[in-house]
Amino acid sequence: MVKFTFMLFIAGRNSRSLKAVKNIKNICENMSVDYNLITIDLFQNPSIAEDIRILATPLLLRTEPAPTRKFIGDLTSLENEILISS
Amino acid sequence: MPNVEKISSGIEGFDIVSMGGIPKYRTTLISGTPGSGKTIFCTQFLVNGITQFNESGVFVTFEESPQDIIQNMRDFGWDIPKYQESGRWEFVDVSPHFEDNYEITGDYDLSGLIIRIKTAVEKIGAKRIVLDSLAALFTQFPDASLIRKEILRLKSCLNSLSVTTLITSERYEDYTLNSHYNVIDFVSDNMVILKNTSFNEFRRRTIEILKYRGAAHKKGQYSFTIKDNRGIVIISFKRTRELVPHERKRKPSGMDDLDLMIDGGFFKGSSILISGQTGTGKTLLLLSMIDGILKRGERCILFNFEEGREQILKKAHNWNIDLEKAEQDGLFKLQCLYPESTGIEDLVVDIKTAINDFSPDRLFIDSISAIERITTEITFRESLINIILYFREMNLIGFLTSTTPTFTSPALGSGTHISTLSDAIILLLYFEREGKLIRGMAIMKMRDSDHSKSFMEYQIDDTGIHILEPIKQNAGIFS
Repeated sequence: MVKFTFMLFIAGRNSRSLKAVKNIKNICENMSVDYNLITIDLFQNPSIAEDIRILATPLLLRTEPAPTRKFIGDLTSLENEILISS
Repeated sequence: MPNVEKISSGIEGFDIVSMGGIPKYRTTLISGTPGSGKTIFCTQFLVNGITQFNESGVFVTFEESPQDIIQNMRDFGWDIPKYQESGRWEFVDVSPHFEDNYEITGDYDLSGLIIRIKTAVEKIGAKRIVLDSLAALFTQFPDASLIRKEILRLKSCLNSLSVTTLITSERYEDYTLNSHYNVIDFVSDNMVILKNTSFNEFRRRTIEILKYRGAAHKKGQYSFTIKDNRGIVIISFKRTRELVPHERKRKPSGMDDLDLMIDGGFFKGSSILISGQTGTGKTLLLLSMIDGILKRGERCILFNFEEGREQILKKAHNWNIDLEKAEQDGLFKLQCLYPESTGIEDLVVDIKTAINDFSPDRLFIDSISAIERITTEITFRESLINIILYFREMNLIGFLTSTTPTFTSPALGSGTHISTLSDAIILLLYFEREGKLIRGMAIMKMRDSDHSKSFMEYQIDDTGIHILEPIKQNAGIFS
C-alpha cells in the first residue's frame, strides 16, 4: 500500500488553515489511504519560509510518493484524483 | 502640514533635488521604463546605506535572481557578497524558479512572503529595504484584488518595522496620458520617475520627484548619468538668485597688456567667455594666459575638445610654452576628450571630478562649441549653467572659448544666449581698416553696466599675441 506524506505550511491558526487541515484529512480518509500529515506553523518557524521559499499559504507539499507536488490554498477545490495520482 | 523626515540616499545630486533624500520609514515608488535605471538606483540606495550610514539593507527580488543582480552590480564597484557575509545585506529571493509549479485549490494569502521579509529585516536589523519589482506578483498569481490586499498588508507590516522602503514600478512608455496608472501605483504617494528617452539621436536620462506626501522637494526633471564605479550621478545645481561672485578679489590674467584692459584682473568665481571665429587666436590667447599664471605658481586645468594632446603640446611649444614641464611639476593638467564619444552628462561629471581631484585655481575649456554640437539646445544651456555655477562654488576662474557665428544676433538681448551667463566676454574680431584686415579685441563685462571700455588692436606673430593701440573707429566689423 502506498504511503503518502504531506507537509502543510500555515501562517497561524485561523479559519483558513483549519479548513486546509480538515480538507486534507477528509480526502485521505475518504480514499482510505495511509498518510502522514505534518503541519508547520510559519509563525513558529519563520526561517523555514525562506528555506523552502514559501510565498503563499496555506501550502501543501506532497513529498511522498515522488515527485513532490505543491498546492496552494485551503484545499477546498482539491480533487481526490489529482491528489492521489503522481 | 508636518514635514516628513528624510534619510539620505547617498546618491550624488539626489539629496539636493529631493531636499534631503527619501522619506523616512515610508514607501517610495521608483517608477520607470525597462532600462531606465530603477534597479541601479535601489541597489545604490542600499549600498550607500551600508557603506556611508551604517544601515543594513534587505533586497527582495521578484524577477531577477540574486546571482544576476550581484553580477550586474559588480561594474559599479559594489561587492554585494561581501556585505552578505558581514550580515549587512540580505536577499529575499522571490524570483521565478523552474520548479515552481503549483495548483491553486482555494483561499490563500501571501503570509509566506510577508513572514520571509519580516524575518530578513529582523535578522540583520535592516533600516532600508527594496522590493524589485513588486508588480511581478500580479503575473505569478491570478487574483489581482487579493494581491492588492496583500501588498497593502505587506506595506503595513513594513511600517511597523521602521524601515524605509523603495518599490520599483514598471512603466511601459515614457510619455503616456495615463501616466498615473500603473498596477503598483496605489501603494504609495511618494513617487520618483526615471526616464530614458531619445531625442534626435541624443539620449537623455532624467529623474523627477513627481510627488512626496507631506514633504518638500524640487520640481522638474534633472539629468543624470550612470557611471562605472559610481552608479547614478545626478546633475543638479543650486540656483542662486544673485549671480555675483562672492569674493571681490581680482586676479591677474597672466598677460600684462590684457590686465590693463580689465582693471587689473578677473574676479575669483567668475566665468569668462572668449568668443571669436576660427583663426582669431582663441587657443593662443588661452595658452598665453596659462603660461602667465603657471609662472605665478597658480594651478590650472585645460580641457580641450578640439584637438589631440600632441597637437596642443606642440602648439604651446611653438610659442615657447612648456606645458609638459608644468604637468610634471603638478601645476597643470591637460585633458583632451572627444565629446562625440561621451555624453554631455558624462562630460559635466568629468569636468567636476577633475576639478575636485586637482583643485586648480583656474579652468580652461576649449571649446564649448564642441559640446554644443553633441546635444540639444536645452541640455547644452543647462549643462553650461551647471558648469558655471560650479566654478562659482569652487571659487575658480573659468574660461570658455566659443565660435559664436553671429554675436550680434537678435538673441543677444533675450537672456537666453550664452553671453548672459558669463561674467565677462572677450571678443576677438576681424576689422577692416583702410582695406586691410586687422584684429580687434574687446572686453565686455556683463555684470556691471560698464560695457566695452576699449577696443584694442592686437597682433599675432612668432613670439605670441600682443595687444597694441585702441581702435579709434569701429568702422566695420568683419565677421
